[in-house]
Amino acid sequence: MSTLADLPSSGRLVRATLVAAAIAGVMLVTVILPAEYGIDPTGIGRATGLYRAPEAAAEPLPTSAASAAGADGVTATAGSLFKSVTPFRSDEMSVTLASGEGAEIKAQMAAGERLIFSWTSVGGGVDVDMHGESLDTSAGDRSYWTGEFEADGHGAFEAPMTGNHGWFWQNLNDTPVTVTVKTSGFYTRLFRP
Amino acid sequence: MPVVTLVATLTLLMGLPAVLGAHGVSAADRAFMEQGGVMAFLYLGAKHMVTGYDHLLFLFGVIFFLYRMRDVGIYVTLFAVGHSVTLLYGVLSGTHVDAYLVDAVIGFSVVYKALDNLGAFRAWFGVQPDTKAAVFLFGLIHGFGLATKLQDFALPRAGLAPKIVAFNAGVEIGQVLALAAILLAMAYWRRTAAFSRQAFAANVVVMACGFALMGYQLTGYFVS
Repeated sequence: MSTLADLPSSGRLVRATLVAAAIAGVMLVTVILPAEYGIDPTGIGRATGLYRAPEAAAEPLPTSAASAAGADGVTATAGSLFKSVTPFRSDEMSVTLASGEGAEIKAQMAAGERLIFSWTSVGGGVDVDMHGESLDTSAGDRSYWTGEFEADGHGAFEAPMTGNHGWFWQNLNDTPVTVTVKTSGFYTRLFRP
Repeated sequence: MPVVTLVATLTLLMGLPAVLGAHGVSAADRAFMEQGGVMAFLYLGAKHMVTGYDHLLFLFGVIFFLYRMRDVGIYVTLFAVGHSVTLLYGVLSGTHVDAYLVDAVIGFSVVYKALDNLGAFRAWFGVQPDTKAAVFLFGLIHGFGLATKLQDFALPRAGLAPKIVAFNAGVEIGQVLALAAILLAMAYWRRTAAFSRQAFAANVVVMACGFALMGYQLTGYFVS
């Protein structure tokens, strides 16, 4: 294998390595960490506009319906009481998935509204991603609860933003499964997107 | 180090995060992969290699001082065999390795190769580690990195093996395409009188990129 004609001395190589590490260190602290992780100890990232807040900080989750009150019409609440302006409804939907197939069922909800859900899979466990996205879909989706080979899932959910929230199930068994979801609460509709 | 090299390094490093998303494959590709067939995997394997700067940097380091096509073929084959073994093994056996740690080791492989090119191991320790063995060994590590990218997806167990093989084949196609572009550029560069002067600086730049990748991934490991 060919190599450098005149091999650099050991001292020169140590200096070169230190220079390389120093350049990497400076670029990490001033460019990569601010842009990728929102870590900006020097403030240079903010100054150059490369700073990007970490996802969690960029879209803070409203901690209760009260914090989302106003724009979306949810009445402010005190203590453990939750008041809703959206009519109450209950739905049940089923979807049969062939081997390898995936499908979504979602509820259209205003920020701060809530529902109770219970889903079960008959015929085998499914991979599940409970997630939602705002109406402005360019913002991407947000995952709430994921699982592999789950036979069911139950709980209560509060919409962090106005949009469509629900489940993506995928059947990774060799045989078909049927997933049935029941929801009750304060949302506009339950649908297959 | 000359100013030109410094500027080149800065430009390279600034471009790094922009080339790919924060980690792995985009949301659109994700859906494509979860619903798509064998061809989707072939395409995405190739795309991952062509846009995967960590693999390309290592490959660039490997062929830097290889002048004969026969040597290029031997080393690239060793790399390809290495990463195929662990990609197939990792995904099919369901072995989960932390993506950040694997990618940090891949960053280290870039630093290692740059130091190797500079003759640092001979200068410091008086020995030249087997370059072929090193390329194969780091090939194995890169394969685990590729496997973690695939494992981010909810892959159907049914018909998994042909899709992984397709992804792997795509990776090799992407590697050949990327390699052709790198070799072409290198051929022109080597013919210039400045090459021997710039070779040292170029490997220092590659090393800096390797260090930056390590820092990027290790930070990700600790903040995620």
